[in-house]
Amino acid sequence: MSLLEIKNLSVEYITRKNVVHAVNGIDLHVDAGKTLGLVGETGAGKTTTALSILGLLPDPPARIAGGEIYFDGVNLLEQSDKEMCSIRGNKISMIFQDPMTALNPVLKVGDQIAEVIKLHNNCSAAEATKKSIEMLELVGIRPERSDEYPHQFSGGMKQRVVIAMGLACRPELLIADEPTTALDVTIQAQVLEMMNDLKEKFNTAMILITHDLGIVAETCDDVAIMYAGQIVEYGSLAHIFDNPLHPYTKGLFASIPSLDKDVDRLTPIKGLMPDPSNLPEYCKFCDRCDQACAGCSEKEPEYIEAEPGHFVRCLLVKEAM
Amino acid sequence: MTRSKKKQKDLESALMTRKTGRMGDIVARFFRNKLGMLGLTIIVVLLILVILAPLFTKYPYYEQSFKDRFVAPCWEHPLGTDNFGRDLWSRMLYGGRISLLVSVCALLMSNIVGIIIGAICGYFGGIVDNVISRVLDVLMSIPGMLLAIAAAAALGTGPVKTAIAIAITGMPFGARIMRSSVLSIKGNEFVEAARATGSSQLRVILKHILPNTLAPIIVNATMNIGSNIMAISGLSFVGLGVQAPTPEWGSILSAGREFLRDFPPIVIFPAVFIGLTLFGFNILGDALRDALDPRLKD
Amino acid sequence: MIKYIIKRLLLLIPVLLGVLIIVFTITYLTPGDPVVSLLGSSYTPETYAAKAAEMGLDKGYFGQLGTYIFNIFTKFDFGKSYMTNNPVVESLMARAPVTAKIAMITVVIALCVGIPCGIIAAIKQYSILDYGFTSFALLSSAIPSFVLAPVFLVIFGVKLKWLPLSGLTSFKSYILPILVSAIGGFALITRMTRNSMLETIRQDYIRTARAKGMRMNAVIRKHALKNALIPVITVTGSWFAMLMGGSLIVEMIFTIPGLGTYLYSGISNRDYPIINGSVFLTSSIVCIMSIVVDILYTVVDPRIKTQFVKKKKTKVKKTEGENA
Repeated sequence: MSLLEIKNLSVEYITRKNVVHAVNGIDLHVDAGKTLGLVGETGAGKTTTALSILGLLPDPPARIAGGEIYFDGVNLLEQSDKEMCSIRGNKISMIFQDPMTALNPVLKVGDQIAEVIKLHNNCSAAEATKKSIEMLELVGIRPERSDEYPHQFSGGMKQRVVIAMGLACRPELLIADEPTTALDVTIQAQVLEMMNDLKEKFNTAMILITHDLGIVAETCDDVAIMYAGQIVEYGSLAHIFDNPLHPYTKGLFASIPSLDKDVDRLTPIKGLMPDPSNLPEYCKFCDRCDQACAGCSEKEPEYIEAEPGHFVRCLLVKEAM
Repeated sequence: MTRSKKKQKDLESALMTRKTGRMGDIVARFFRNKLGMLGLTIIVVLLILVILAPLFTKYPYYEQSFKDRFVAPCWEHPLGTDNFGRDLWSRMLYGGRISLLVSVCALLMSNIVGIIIGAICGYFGGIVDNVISRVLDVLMSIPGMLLAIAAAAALGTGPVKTAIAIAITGMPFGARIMRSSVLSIKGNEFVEAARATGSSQLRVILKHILPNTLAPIIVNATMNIGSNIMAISGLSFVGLGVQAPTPEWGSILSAGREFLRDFPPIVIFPAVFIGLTLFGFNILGDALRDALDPRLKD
Repeated sequence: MIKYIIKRLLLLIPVLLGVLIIVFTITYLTPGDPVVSLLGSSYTPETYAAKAAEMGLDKGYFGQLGTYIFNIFTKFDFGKSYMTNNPVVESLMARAPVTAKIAMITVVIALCVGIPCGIIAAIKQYSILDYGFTSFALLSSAIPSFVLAPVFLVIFGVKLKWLPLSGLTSFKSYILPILVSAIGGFALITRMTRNSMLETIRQDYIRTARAKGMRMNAVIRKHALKNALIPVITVTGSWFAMLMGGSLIVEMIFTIPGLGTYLYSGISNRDYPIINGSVFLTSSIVCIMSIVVDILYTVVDPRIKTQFVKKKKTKVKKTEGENA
């Protein structure tokens, strides 16, 4: 059984004017100790998916329209707030995109880490502090800095603190929401490598949200490509990288520079993602797809298993089978 | 010190919208704000009543009638009469003319002088800025009401002098806002571009900087009309504002105070008018600020 | 930190000197001759000159200003009241505690009531409590103290006879003046707390705290409150200045022997040393409060602290840590 299993999850944001369909019936699963890469452009619903796992969607305006999220066999969507609080930060924790704003500016970093330890482990304040210092050392921050405030840290250091906080209770699942996007390129690699090491060490499963396929190639076991609130392609790293099936996935690969091929021009995917408050009834990618045929603009393509463990949502692939 | 920090924050957020929000959005946001609309309605109704006072009143505000003293509100005298038998409704409307006029005049004076001083400080910087800013600091460190009272004591009573006394207290704040607006805008590329293309300094100030500082100034001004009315009434109440025969809300209230126990309307109604005006301008100012700064609203 | 406080106190001197000069100039320019008003209609040029010399008014503007400031800095002498011939300092010292006491209690009450109300209004946004507190705050900010005071006097003093009408006889006599002054501050603080709380709970670090598994109440208490209070401190500081200014009216209405009534007596009698002295003292209190507010900032917000108190140590460490 998978550690995390999302079944047919849909999330909407209800505003005064319209209903934004952020996530539309996605299925995902993450096995213990494995890393799933969740790839997609901004607004594809990646963060919304992550927040709904933790039950931290801003409600209102967000609303879970349907589906189930099983973690260790229990449906998280049916848990009470109290039960969710004992899961958050303990069994599932999350690293947010922007380390600059993720830490409380008026509290010492050491205390912010110790807080989560004290919350979930029945231990004294002194023990929690000791453990928090251990965590800081683990992410490469000198212990005496635990008495400093976030503004005294650089962006990369702050993200290390956030990671230390996320891993402090040895969670079974870590959700990392674009953990390196806000960092300098030189720091990105360091942070990523460190996260990977710690993940291996604690045997933590991870959902890595990113739009950087390079990061996915380095860290992930499985990959889900998300587009307009749907999973358009899902498979192992090898499936996605060696045999991408969905035109969107192919487009993503075509739009990144490659070292071994000599190309003059990158091919960007033309157009924009459809308005999530007014999604088409047919294939969401149809309007941007250069292989679209007449059938594509008629009805929603099915989510099919093209080869064992490799799923795709595209009419063309289905017809080719 | 602390006040300026707050204003600075307000203004910075207001400035942000100059870049992000379009005029249409701002207007739309403003008209969606129910409280703001209520404020606007209150003010418009008050203004109509006050400006067209002769149309809405039956008695001259000064007409005394000994036999009609302390008449309770009735059809003939909607708000009753005062201790001289004068119609309170007329006195309210005509008094509002003075209160509002003095407030607006004080506002204009303080803002025009403040804007000029602030612009000079912000634009030229250096010693000029330093000296003027220190003087403003001193003026701002005297509690506004006390400065107004001292100034009013020196200037004497009457609508014009009251307006000047209040303008003196308001001026440093206008100057502060303008100064920091100019400072934050001065660094922007479009100002440098204007200077690079050879615009004169005055032209840069008038054409490029001033329009971009309008938002915080307008918000501040709206809030100020209300607080000025409070200050005028306060001065009149202490006996340093507009003097007895001239109707003004504060002086009517002050004069009626000794009759409060036996005939409450004489104090209640001026209080209601002052309160309504303050309330109207406060919520209008809030709405304007929210409209100019969508980040504060959800 | 102490260095910073000393620096601020030293910077206060030129500001207060400026206040003295401005107030002195204003009263100097006030029309009317205090000598004449003191001597009445019957005086000869000789008695006039003698009286003027006695009051120190025979010198020119700069002479008078110089003597005034000199006496303050050397002898802490603010002159004597024209009317009673009492040293102004003595009256100020006798009256300042009264005004300060009322102001302090007012601030404490307004904060103790306003902050919780603001927090509740923010957490339960769009609830009945929220609407209740916000509309009460909006309405009460529109009622000036000089309206509230007489109305309260009539209701609680005259009609219900619960509280004394004037003077400071027992603790009961403090209730109305404090209530009247506190309501305006309550309105301001509630609104400010609510707005800044609403802004704070939308911050990323609140989401981080929630992601740690903290209950919402704990998040508010441990993470949001301190951050949300920063603008509240600012607004309290500026309200305090208003409070001190408005104390004149409140003290007048309740006939409280504080700085406000003293100033008022100075104004109505053209007793310039009294005006100068009480405006100066009130401004000094306000200035010192603003320093206190700035110090409070550094307690609440470590970012400001590092701005003021530069520690070279941490900078070195930071670069080291970066390389680690």
